[in-house]
Amino acid sequence: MGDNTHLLEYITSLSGGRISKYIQNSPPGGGLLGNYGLFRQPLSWNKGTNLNKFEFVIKRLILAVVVVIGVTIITFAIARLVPSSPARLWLGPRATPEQVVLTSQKLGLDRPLYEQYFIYLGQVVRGDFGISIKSHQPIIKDIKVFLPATLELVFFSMILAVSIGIPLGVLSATKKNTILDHLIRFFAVFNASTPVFWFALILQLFLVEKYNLLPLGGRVSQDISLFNPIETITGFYIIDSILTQNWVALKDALVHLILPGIVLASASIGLAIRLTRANMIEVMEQKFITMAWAFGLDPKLVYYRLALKNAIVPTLMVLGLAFVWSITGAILVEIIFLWPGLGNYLTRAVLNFDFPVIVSISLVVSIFYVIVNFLLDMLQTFIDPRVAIE
Amino acid sequence: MIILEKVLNITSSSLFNRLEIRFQEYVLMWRVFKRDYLSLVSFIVIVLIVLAVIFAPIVTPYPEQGEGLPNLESRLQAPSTEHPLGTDELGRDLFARILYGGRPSLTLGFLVVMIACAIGIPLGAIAGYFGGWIGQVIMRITDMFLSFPALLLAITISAALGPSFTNAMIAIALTWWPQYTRLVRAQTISVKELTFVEAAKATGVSDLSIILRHILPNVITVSIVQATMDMGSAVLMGSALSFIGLGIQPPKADWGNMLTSARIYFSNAPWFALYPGITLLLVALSFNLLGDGLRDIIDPQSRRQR
Repeated sequence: MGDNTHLLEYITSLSGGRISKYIQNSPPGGGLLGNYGLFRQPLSWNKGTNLNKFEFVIKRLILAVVVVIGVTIITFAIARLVPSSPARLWLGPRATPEQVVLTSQKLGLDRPLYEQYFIYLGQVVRGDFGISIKSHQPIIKDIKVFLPATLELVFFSMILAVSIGIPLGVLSATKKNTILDHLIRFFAVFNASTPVFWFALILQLFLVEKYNLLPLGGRVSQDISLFNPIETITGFYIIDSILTQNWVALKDALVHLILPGIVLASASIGLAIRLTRANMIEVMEQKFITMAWAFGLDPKLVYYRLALKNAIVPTLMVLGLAFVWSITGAILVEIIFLWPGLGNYLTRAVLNFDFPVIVSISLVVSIFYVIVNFLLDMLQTFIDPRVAIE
Repeated sequence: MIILEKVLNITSSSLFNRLEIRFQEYVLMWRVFKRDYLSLVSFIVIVLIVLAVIFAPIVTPYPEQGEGLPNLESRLQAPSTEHPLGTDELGRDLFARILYGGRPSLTLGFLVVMIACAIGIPLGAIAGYFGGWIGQVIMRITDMFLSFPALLLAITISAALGPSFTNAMIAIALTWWPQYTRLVRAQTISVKELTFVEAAKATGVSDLSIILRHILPNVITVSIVQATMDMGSAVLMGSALSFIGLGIQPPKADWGNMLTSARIYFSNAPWFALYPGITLLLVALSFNLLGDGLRDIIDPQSRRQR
């Protein structure tokens, strides 16, 4: 190698951003070095565009707020318009007409719709999602208990997805069109099309029922919750048990995470493999890689330091979205593994027809979704200089 | 006269050429498809499953059990020659149940994608072609729907409408259309800049027929690929709703609610959970692979990339 290091640095600086943007956008057919201005002073597109970037952030922020308002309109519409009489829903089927009228007044259902909507919006802004029909508890209190459980599961599954999916995707791209590549791609499609709830059942059947390797479900086993209970600080059992140095509970909580984590990760693993592979291949076809090959760089350096570095940003962006999709994927996983999270809470609400709960959960998750989306957009704009601003 | 003849000659030959080119393209597509064994196999699997489900009364000897008639003498029997896939908790032949369960599941998948296309594609074409405030309004509405995770919105809507097959279908379709709008809009924007659209505008063709005759044929192929892949995911989502209890109600079966009842018995009767799931997996996998293959056939760009 030796001599190659400065070349590598040079090409990395090309691939890192500015110039590769010109390579991408330049017309085909020109020479590699002549027409693209590779050896000219690179045009700095940051200089004049700082203001534009700021405007872009503001624009995106306004857009995010508009979408959140739209989301509240949709949830409001579902909550108030779809059930024929929300008041009757509160009182049950045996309520008298007078009671219905009274409750309507109490809930503000007799006011005009737009007024009701603004009242609803005000409540949501203050974090008041109303009261559960079944338990008559404030919904926000329940969500605060169940959300950490779900997030813990989702975080764990995303770590699995990234640490399994991306290496496999890289392998598949570097060994393109070999048997290994076909196998990995088939594995990816297989993962993406396996019904989550069925996969969970099969794993339970073979790993738990047959060989008794892992716990069947729940967040911790009964002995732990009786003798070594985890103090609730953040609601994340892993973090809480580390904070309180409750190592027995930590081990138990981790063991309980494995099965649901794998099941939930399966779809994201498929996605990660496909994305990494596609992005790697796209980068590999660009001219700075051809140049790197032409200079005779070590394949390992070309793959990992040049291609992967460029391919990994868009992959991680989409995986950021997969994180939020996993929250809904968790619904099904939670039911099967008796995981006390949002999904279980939601299904119980569906069975009891506890409508305010259903609507609030979908509101919370979609606002979460919008925020993550916005943050990813921002991150991408500032990390990846190749993202051109419209 | 000679000039006219020449003109006629040219037009007719160019028409002939166009037909020939199109024909050659189809031949090429078929060749690519034939070479892609994975797609071919998945196509055959889909056709076989669909035929078996349609002709279920002929295929299985127990059509009335498939419809839901209990047969309590043979509860939870393991697979045997009499019942090739075993029996369920009410003694019904599992093979018959799976075939009859395929009817709502596959219908739901197909109709969801059709409804989603029928809403999403025109909206996307309009948003892309006109742009301006119409496009803005359409895209913002699309964004709002896209900012709900699909499964969650489907659960919310079908819980609001009440659990039934039709409501589950409506709920899923309502969550499904925005992605077609996005897809078609992006395509339309790139197509509308092309010279043939400009030429059509210059000769005074109306906007409607430009969209219908010049833009849609050029953007529809991508949607077809997407729709094929989505068919599998829609079946999966339908069964997920049904698994929660928001789909078709017993005694009618579909692949989702079969798994719900199988869950209770799965340590005693693993086959009961195994086979409906495998069918579901097979269908979703086949549609995914077929869509992948179709994309390679239709889009030479990605064909080269592989």
